[in-house]
Amino acid sequence: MEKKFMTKLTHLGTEINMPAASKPKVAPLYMNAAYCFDDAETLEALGKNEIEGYLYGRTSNPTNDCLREILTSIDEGADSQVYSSGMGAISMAVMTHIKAGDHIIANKIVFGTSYKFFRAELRDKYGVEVSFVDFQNDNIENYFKKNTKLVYMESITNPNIDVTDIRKIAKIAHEHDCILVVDNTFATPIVCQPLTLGADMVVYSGTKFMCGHSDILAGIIVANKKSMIENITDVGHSYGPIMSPFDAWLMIRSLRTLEIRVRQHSNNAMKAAEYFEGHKKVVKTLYPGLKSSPVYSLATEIFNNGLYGGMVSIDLGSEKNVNDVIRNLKLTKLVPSLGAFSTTVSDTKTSHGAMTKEERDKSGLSDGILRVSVGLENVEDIIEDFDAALSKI
Amino acid sequence: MFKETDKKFKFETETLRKGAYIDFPADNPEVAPIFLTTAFNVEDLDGLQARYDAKGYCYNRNRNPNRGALINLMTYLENGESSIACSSGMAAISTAIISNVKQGDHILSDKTLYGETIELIEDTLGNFGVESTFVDFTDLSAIKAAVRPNTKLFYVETVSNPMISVPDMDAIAKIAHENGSILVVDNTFMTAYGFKPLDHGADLVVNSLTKFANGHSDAVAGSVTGSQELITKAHGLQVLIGSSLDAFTAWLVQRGVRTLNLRLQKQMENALALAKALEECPYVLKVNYPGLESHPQHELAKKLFPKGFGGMLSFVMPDDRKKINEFMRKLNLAHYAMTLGGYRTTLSHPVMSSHSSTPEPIRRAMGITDGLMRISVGIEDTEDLVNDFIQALEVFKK
Repeated sequence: MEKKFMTKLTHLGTEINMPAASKPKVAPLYMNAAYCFDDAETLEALGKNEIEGYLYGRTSNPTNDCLREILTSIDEGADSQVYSSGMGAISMAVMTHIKAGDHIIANKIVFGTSYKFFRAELRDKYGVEVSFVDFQNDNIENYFKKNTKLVYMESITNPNIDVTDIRKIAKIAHEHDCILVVDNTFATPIVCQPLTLGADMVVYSGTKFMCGHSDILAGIIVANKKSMIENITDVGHSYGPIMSPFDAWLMIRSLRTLEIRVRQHSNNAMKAAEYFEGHKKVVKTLYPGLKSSPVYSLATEIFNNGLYGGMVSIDLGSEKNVNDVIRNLKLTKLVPSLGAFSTTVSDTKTSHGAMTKEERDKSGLSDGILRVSVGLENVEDIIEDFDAALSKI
Repeated sequence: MFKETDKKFKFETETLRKGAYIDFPADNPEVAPIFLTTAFNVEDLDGLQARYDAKGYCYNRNRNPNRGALINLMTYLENGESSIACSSGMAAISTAIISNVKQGDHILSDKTLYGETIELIEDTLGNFGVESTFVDFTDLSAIKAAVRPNTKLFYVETVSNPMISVPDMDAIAKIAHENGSILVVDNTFMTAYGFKPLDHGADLVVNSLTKFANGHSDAVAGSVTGSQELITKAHGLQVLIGSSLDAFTAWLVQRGVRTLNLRLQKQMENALALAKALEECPYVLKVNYPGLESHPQHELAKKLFPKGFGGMLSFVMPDDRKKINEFMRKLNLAHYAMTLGGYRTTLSHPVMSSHSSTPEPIRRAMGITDGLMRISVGIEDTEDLVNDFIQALEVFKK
């Protein structure tokens, strides 16, 4: 007897009528690319925003919206959007707000790939002017032009863990009708909330502390105006760097422990920094939580909860010393990422490989810097590991 | 390279063949990959023998790398020699018990166990001719009096549900061993962060990893940990019953355990604060939490649980269903849920859940009244959580 299965196989199991009395304790994973509609009028009304609903996987997804609700709230923003990587978020946030002939002022020290994006994409290909300025020591006031539209900085810089007064930069930017975009990846909202300090947009590589488990890539934008996110979302539909609902689901899971993780990262980093500072082989320890840090009082003023984040950099004087320490670390691995539950290290050539040696030198990035992402281990284990490795140089 | 050939196959064949093996360096990823595969390939019979000899991975029901990773983690946490990972807490409990009893044997168990564990011991195993007795395990003389010559297994929970009483594990293990029995302990409520039963004489420890261990209310899993000898027996049975934990859940639980100590610290801190606040609340008749001086086993709990008294507590309100409903509706943070141990605070009503089949006079004698509510404390901000309970309890104000 011939039996037909294909219709059943392709049409059943698409709708679950969840009884109204039961609510899943965890948001379900809507792993779907499309939605279906009863008629064309409904779809049309939806397309015109006359009724609420989900249209297409690239434009919106319920799981991603659950994630956005958390992100908007913890950064005290108006709305947020999520992307498939940190660079996806940074590129969408910036490209939505500039066009050919516009001018951007960026701190001279930013994540290497962000630097490359400004230089090689925006400047060399799209005709956007870019000035890289020393936000800490130079007066950015002098660099504004008629066509300046956007100012870009990191709340804690990569890799030298420097802190600039976001309030001051925001004030100057706004006086020139510019928006301020702050990459808050190293700090997370637990340590710093740039929107509350005057920034217009905050961007993240969600891959790092926000996720914290080294298992997904993610990008986040939170803005203080709903219209900004609407415009970014619209531009994002053309480029398409959307976050997979599965990754959004894992990110929600990660955020449940964000505060307890970041508190522990910060407490461990503080103890590690104090240890590094007292070590004779360490030329300089870069951590805003150290009382000796030139930005200690500023960081204490603008950061939350008496926390300074999980990132510490140490200057070991030479590239050779950096390599020797990396080789002799047992617990701690060289990982070209950061912000995970385990302690990892990275050298400047890795984190800023997208910059040429010349560009790195010009920005003052020493090859003797070892960047440490302090994990959630017992801090005594972390310090013992470094103590053994440092004793070999 | 494995199975590499220059031969070109047709479209349909290549569609199935391409991308099967990862031929470029992908070793030492920062996070273990998920091995969603039912089986592993070998090239020939010599390869098969080599795989057996190296105790390599063969078939998913027997062993899987993600399950293996979680097993290593649980073995470390519970300080055992080996573990199995199961598709649910009940799979772990049933495997631990059934691999150690046969027809004609006797199980001696605490009387306030998780309801389904009682069903398993009394009904399911009863049908197969296994005898059982349930006594109050906080009463050592009652345990001694109930031991029979055929008693093979003692079963108890680290902290009992829902009265949150604390049995004297070392003393119970001693009685079990003097009678040639093994002691199996369910450590779900405390987790290995709070207590390690194997260090206190238990022979096997079971965990519903669904609860505090995973902690994110998104996976169902269990584990059994103990000596190599007992775990070999349990694994042998598990392979037959087929309750192996799937790779994805194993990976997810391992991810959950990464924050075990941070979560449990916060849960214990919150539970103590909430227990103290409830005890002071004029509308609360009684609070059951081992961290309170009023708890009958407080001194013992201080000795057994140096890191804190766990995230589970229960408290008694007046037997007024209407007011209790009002109270529940007025809570903003804690919701009723048929589970526990998650990051959010949840409630459970023993009379209508775990002890719904216990006759009223018996449950009343146990202290399980209509006003008893069990709380699984989450990792919310302490002040938010305590304030939420206190404002909701105002419904009892006349």
